[in-house]
Amino acid sequence: MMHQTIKGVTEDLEHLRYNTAIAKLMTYYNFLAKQEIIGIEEREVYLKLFAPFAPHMTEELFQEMRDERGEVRNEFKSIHTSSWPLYDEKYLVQDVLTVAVQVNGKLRGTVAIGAGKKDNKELVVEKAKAETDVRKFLTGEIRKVIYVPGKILNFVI
Amino acid sequence: MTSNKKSTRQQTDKKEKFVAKDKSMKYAPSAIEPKWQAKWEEAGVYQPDLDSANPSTGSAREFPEAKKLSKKTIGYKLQLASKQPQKGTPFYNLMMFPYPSAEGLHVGSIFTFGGVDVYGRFKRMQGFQVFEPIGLDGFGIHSENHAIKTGTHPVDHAKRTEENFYRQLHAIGNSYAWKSKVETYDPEYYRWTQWIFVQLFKSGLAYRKKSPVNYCPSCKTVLSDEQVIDGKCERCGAIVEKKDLAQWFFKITNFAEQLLHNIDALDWTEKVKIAQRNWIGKKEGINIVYPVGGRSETITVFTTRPDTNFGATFIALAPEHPLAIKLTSKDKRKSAEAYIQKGLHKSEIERIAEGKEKTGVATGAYAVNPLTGYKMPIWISDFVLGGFGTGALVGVPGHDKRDFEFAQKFGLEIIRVVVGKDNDQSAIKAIEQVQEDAGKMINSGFLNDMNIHDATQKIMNYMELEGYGKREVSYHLRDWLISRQRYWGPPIPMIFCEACAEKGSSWFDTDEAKARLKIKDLGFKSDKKDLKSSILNLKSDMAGWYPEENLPVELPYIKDFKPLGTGKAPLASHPEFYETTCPGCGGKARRETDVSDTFLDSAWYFLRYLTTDLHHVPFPMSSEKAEKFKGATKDEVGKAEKRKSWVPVTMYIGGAEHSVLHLLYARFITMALCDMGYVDFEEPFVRFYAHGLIIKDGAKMSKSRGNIINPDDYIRKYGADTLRTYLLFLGPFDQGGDFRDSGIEGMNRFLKRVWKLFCEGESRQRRASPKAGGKGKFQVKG
Repeated sequence: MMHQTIKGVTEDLEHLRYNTAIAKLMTYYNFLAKQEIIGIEEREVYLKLFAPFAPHMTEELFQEMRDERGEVRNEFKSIHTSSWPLYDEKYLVQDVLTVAVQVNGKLRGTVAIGAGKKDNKELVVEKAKAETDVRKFLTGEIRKVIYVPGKILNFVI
Repeated sequence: MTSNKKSTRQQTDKKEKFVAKDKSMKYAPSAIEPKWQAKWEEAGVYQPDLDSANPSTGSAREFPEAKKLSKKTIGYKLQLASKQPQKGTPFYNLMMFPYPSAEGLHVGSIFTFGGVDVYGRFKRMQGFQVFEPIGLDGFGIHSENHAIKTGTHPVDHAKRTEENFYRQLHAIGNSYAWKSKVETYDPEYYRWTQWIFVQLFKSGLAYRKKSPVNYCPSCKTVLSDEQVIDGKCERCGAIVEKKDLAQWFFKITNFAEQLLHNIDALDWTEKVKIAQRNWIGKKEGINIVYPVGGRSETITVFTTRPDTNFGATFIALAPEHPLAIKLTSKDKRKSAEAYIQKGLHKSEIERIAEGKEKTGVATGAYAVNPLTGYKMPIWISDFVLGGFGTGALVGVPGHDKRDFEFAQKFGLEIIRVVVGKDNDQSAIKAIEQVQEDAGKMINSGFLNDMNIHDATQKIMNYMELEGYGKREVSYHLRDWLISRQRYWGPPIPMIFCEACAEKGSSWFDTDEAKARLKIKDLGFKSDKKDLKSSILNLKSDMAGWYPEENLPVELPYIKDFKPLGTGKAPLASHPEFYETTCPGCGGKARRETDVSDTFLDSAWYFLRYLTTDLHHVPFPMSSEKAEKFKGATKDEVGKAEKRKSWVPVTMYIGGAEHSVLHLLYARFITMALCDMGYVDFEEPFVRFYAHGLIIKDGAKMSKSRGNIINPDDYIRKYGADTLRTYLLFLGPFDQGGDFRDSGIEGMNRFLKRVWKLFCEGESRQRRASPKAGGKGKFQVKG
């Protein structure tokens, strides 16, 4: 997920696709927020990717992190002159896919699904229905379920 | 198990620390933001060492094609996505500097500047040495109008707005090189704006001429063609009039071909390139000379479609055409004169509007079409413009809609000479039948059955051979009208001497000028068309004129700064300003009292950012050139040379509305400076990206709608980080988006969650649900 985000955000920034870069950082946040442990490397990468957008906040957290690491702080080292994270191609194979869940074409949530199970429509539907954000909108009879494997699930009600 | 224990222990250690922090550290941007802004500035994080850039790692080196650009054409594309730059490679990241108004920074500017800044920060972290300067385009009618409206003097207005703007520009947290700012109204800046004017004058690229010019009755000054949009003033929207006035012009038309040619190779937003091509408006056609029946005069007509000439049935002259009255028979003269007067008072846009009912008067004379012997009646009509082509057109009503409307109204013959795709060969009776584009020739003698393009070439060859036609290239681009009868600008640094004028002498008779004329092509590198002869032509028009060498010509503080509307600038009522001595004869002379167009200020500011600390040299240039400046120290000369590696600008981001104004003028000034040998590149901005527009709750922001966003309020409430991120999340950067308060609220929540997540430290207990980071998954609804 980290390498994939680095790749995505780097390419987006190169082409000034800022809105999609931010969206990727949100997805990555959602992923991180579910982890029991977030390693220091992962946190550092996150801050660096977010730094161009939120320079102050990321600087504050970055400096906190240097404290945490016990780095000597005689010299001020800004996050903004630190080096941009690089990704490693070999980690780019997606083992977890994020499927966007729509109700009547409107995005209401996402579900994560193992890459090997992406063709299992029933499983995706089941997971999607369990999402509170989605369930809220499933108010009527489901007339049709459209599924693009690994990408989009759309309930038509 | 053991390792688990260990991590729990570690965690407990840290937990104490973080618990303590958690209590005190609520996300509080109002505390964090100013703190880091001050720290960054103190540590010089965003102030690159402009002299450390080694020319061998300079931007031109890094992108091989950029080197070519400095020669003739450009073929430079940034392909940096996967590439790691050599450490310290200069990256000049430029945004369009704002003109300050009383209200302060517009949220649209924060959107743009934020977007440019994100790019700059990204490039900095990738290892480039990024230079991201900012300044104020504070001279000009825009700022002056604001000052008048708020009842302040432009000088005081500038002081106040400067403070406010810089405060806001600090608050948004951009990575500006604060030591390198420029203000166009600073004499340290505009002395060089004036210096550029003088250089253009000495190279025959600035001249003074009486001609019909655009005049805005509301701004009480003349305007350039580029500042007239749909017949209206670019600034205030008033309908622009035509006035005959003596004005200063820059010969941008000398560069028409080069400006057009280089566009192909520029890495610019496509719509901006198209706009510039259209504005330059190159047309390849032919001048055809028609004899007037029974008289000695001839009428010359420019057309790009001579292929249709077998269908020519009338001639129309612009009301301004010198033959318009002359050819009119006596009985019709009175009505013709009345018509001409009326036409001259209409705006150009009114005159050429399509679908508008055509008007005209017949002169009674006719011209002969040598191809067919057809006697074409000569009319006067205001849909023909005096300033375009030859001021006369040949009417082919079968294949031009406006000609058709005209012919139909006045019962002139319509002949079909082209058959289009629909294969309709019938007589043309309705405007829908008018075939303007492609097709095959018919009723056209030796051209029959050819397609129109081949026919065009064949007929041009024929007409040239027969001696009544000559191929001609015409451009829509006209010279840049540079003088303004206003106060708030750099005084045009020219002096006029009546005595010298009477003798016909001017600066062009000085030793300096003679020496320049002797140098082959005046030291110009590229093959401009006979500059020497154009200077010699200028010479007689320029009698009495001398440039001021002692710069700056400072703009005095005067109380009566408001525009007069008399065709004269406010400075013209101040003898203490304009009275001077003639640099030629030492007699009494008079300074020019017009100021220059504000677009000249912004046509070169990107060069000055790099040398704000150099007093004697205007911008980066070779030491050979730099050492010729009076008073230039060795240190300054060395720095001017070193800083060449920063230009041209690597990335420029701004609004598409500047397509044919600022962006064209900056290209022209750079080309002229390149020709004079001051810079070694023709194109100032190799990459230009046009950003989008921010609207508020679905509508364009405007004061009358009351939906103006005051960025200060949002920064106070949410912090600059939230505002920046929100603005850029609204939509694609090249399109913009709709600002909604509920949306920025959502973005603020996101930042708070990220804050919280990261404040909790490296390891933390997963809470009861997977939604540890907050109330749920994060989503901002656009």
